[in-house]
Amino acid sequence: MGDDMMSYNGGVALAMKGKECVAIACDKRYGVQNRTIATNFTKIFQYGDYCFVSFCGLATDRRFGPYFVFSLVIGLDPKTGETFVYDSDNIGAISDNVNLATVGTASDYIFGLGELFFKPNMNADELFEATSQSLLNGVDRDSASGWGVLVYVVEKDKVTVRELKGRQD
Amino acid sequence: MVESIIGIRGKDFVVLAQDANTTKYGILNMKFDTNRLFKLSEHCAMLAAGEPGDVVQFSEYVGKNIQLYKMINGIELSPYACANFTRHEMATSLRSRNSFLANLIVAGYSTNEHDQQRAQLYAIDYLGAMVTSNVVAHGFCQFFALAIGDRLWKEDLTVQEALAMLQTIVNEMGKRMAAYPHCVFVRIIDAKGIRVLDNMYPEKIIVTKPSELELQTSADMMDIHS
Repeated sequence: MGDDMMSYNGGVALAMKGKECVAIACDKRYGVQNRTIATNFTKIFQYGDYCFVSFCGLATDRRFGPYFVFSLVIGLDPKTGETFVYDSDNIGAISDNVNLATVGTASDYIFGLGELFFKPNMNADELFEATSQSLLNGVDRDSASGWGVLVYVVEKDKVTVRELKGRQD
Repeated sequence: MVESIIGIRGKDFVVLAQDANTTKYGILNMKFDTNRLFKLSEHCAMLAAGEPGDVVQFSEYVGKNIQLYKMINGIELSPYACANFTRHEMATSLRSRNSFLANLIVAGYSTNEHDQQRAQLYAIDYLGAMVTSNVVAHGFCQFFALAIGDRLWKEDLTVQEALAMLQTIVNEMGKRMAAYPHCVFVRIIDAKGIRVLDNMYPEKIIVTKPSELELQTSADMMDIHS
């Protein structure tokens, strides 16, 4: 680990598209290198009625200085049902509107699982299952992420928040 | 890193503890009654540890600004507001000419009856990352305090239980830390405000004498006179 800023605090987030619904999920660990300090540190913020963002990387940069953070942005147009999922690295390279995006120390593991569970045009329940399983199993492979998962599923008429308890280590 | 600051949150109170040593050059114990607590408002206080000058400069700056708010607006900032203001100052100064190598614990009791969680406890590190938890600590004591807290903390913790937990932590620090905490200052913040409790000391370590058998060598056991 040494002094790699992006893995100093740990953490991971995933965003996935469904049919007229989007989901974003993150883990809850806050640590300093190999020490876990707290297990209630969620990384998702609401920027609008149908827009959520997540930042993974150096904890101090959250919300006040986008330097050592990778970002995820999701959104939903409540009238048309059009879905948006974008991710960005720390120097502002933004992806196209993708089906699946991950950021954080366990992003590679969750990408693999996400690609496996993703199907086009999933409904909200299937989307929740795919997102949750990708995250729950992906974080078990990364020592710097985990201690629970928070999942937001955004649909045209509601936003559902669920907290999942996985392996508490 | 050598200085210890610990916070434990209970049902309607927060207990704050700090070691009272000042060490110089890695080996000299200069002072046994160092104060690391800075009052922010009637029901909110901050413990700070780290680079000596930075600790005082930053804590006084934040403390005075919070008092200034009270003077201008006639109302005190809530612990939540104090903590977030402090974090913001730490984060903005991180990338400026003057950054502060200070780790902080902000604790308070909210006077707003509508608050769900009245006793509040936050830890802010020197990079400006803030987290809230039931047991927080900075420095090498983190290894002991967090682990003992995981084991002993429970919902609706009473003051006695919190102080017993703290005594366990202090004993462990006394046993295992080379930087022995001669004295630990303890304060409590609750509905009545900030109060100082009795000092806490690590329990004396009794070690059994080495046995006489160890004084024997194999040469002693040989009979050289035959």
